Amino acid sequence: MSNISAFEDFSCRIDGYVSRMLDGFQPQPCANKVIHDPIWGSVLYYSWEIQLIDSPLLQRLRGIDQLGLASLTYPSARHSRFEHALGVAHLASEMAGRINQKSIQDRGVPFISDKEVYKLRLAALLHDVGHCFYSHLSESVYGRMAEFGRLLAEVPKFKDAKPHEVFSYLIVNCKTFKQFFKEKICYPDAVRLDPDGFFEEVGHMIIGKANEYRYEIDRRILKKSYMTHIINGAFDADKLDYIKRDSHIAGLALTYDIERFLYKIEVRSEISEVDREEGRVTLENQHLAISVSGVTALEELTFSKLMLYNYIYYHQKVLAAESVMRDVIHGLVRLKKLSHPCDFLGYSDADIERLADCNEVPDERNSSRSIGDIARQITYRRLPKRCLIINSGNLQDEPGSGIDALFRRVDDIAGEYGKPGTEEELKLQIMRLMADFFYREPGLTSRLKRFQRIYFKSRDIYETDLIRKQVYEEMCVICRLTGRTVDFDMYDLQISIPKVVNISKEAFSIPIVVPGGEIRKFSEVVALSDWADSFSAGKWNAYAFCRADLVAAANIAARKVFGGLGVVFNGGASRNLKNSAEIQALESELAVHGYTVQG
Amino acid sequence: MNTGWMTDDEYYGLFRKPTLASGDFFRLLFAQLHLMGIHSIPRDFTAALYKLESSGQYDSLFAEIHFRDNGVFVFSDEVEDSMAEMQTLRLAGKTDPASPVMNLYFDPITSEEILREFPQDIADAMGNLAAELAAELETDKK
Repeated sequence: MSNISAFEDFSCRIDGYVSRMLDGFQPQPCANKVIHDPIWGSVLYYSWEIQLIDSPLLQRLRGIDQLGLASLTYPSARHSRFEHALGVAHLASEMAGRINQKSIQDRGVPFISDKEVYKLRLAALLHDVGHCFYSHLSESVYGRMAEFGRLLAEVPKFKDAKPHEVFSYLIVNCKTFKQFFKEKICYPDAVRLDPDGFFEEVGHMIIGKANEYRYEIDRRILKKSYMTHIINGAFDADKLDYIKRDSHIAGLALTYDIERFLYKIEVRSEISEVDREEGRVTLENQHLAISVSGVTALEELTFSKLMLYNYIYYHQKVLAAESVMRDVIHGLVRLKKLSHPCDFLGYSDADIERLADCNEVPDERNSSRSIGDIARQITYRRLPKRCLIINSGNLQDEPGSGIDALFRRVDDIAGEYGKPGTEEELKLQIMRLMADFFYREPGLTSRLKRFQRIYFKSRDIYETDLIRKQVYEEMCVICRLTGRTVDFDMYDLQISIPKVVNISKEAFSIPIVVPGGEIRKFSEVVALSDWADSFSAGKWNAYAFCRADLVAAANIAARKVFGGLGVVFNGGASRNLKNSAEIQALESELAVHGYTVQG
Repeated sequence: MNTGWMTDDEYYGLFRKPTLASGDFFRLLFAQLHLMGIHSIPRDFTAALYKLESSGQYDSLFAEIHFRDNGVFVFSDEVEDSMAEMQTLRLAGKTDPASPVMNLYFDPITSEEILREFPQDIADAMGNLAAELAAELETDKK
């Protein structure tokens, strides 16, 4: 490895990418334009925004579907990151407009200046320029690369950002982009524009970092958190757009009251630091908050997001398609076509689909199939089938569980109650018993616990591959025992262990203004986060997928391998699949050979 | 036809392997709390954890946990993600949704198993952190 820093390395590569993208592009002087959007209607964009929208950097987003492979399940969901970016710009200025409307009513002047609104809209337009093909799917691969880790370790402000936000930051802050913007985009006040400072602020808004401004007169620092919160916050323009857009275009009847929501947002000012000796404010933070009367709209927003996971993002067919596509991406990594995170920027969704013609074999040791063979499964929607569903309903109860046992033990403890000095000890015993009961109780409480180690290890690509390999080898054993031909390889099997959905993070960070002007956390005002956690827990599923004719063998093999790792399934793990009869028949056949799933 | 593929070592070497991932941080922390006899903690304990992170004493443990201050509250995506994971996998949860307290559904076998997954120095450091966190939460209660 050379001795240049990861930041220099990434900056240099990104600059090269932006140079190639902008090479030969000459923005033409133009007027403001109205663009029609299916969600927000006719929206006005300023002339400089049109110049930027016409640039290859933003046009490229037309080639990246907002919902990745969801269109294989929801055929109309082909909207791209491009229209989403336009929608976010519109909503960012709508949010600013409502804040100003309120400010004019209260103080007679707008709170957010025109220049700040332009900056907000610019950050919104550019917030997704760092997205690579299939959006979050490719991000889940390059974001885990060691080189990316090196960058995060070097630049602390990137640690909280998502990988594509880091790319967006680097794109808008690269030398070529700043030069292009200053020289060729007719931005108001461009002559006095300091591109370094300006784009660092835009970049900070994209990665979710608040910009601070020093006022020399009273030596005060003003933190304009509200600007960042509009672009990347708990209820930002991004979420407001994608929740409406994704559900509407996929054909789902989800909604939230955006009008009410916009009326209820406000900017609050908090004094964060005071110089007591001099009696002056040293740090003032202006942040976004929502009035308590807007909480219902916020609940709708949170609920809609949760439902999007159930309906779209974590739909089993979407996960199956993503598992196959992940093989394509990892294949490209193995073939050194994607050996650095920045390489991912060079492809669109269509480029990856065109790989159906690629005959290079990425993993000869495990499979003779080419990248094209794998990619064609997506092109022609030959998706693998579910062969195992892992959830709390399909796992075995812990022995000794049951409410009767609990009651018996509570009776024993109750018998001791009233004896001097035992009260605290008995309370403690009851608490432990309750905790123990919920650990052992059938249903949601205990069954997934055995699975936790596999879940956390699955974040490591090596560990998931290891389980996959073991299941494949077990399938080979089953075939040999029953005289079937082994006409498959490891790539006919996929393991998908999706990340648990988390809605609470919004709930824990949204400031709510309650009567009297006090600020409370959203989670303190409504118990939505607890409900959402329970709801997500009940809906969460992990899967094994395989070729249609291998479901029975793969189901048995997967249960055997997971059993060896301490995860024991109940009858539901095979009964709840379409091929249950086939699985049962194969299991009986295997029993004749002395083979059992759970030994 | 191949232009040259890489070995498994080269391939897996391209991906990062954090010393202590955020999910593992909480498995280990809760296992240590359980072994110390602590069976419940406040659901919202981010501020207490942030205080310990800010001390700089446990930098290696906190490498994958990041805190954000929105000017009003301190919050952390990693803490919240991990809490959702803990609850879904039933390592933690609430008996009463309205209660601010979360139960840790650990048992000695699970706790010991978790401890054995990590190098001794990391497990020991987490033991110290757990003790400090317990003291911090006790102070908050008072």
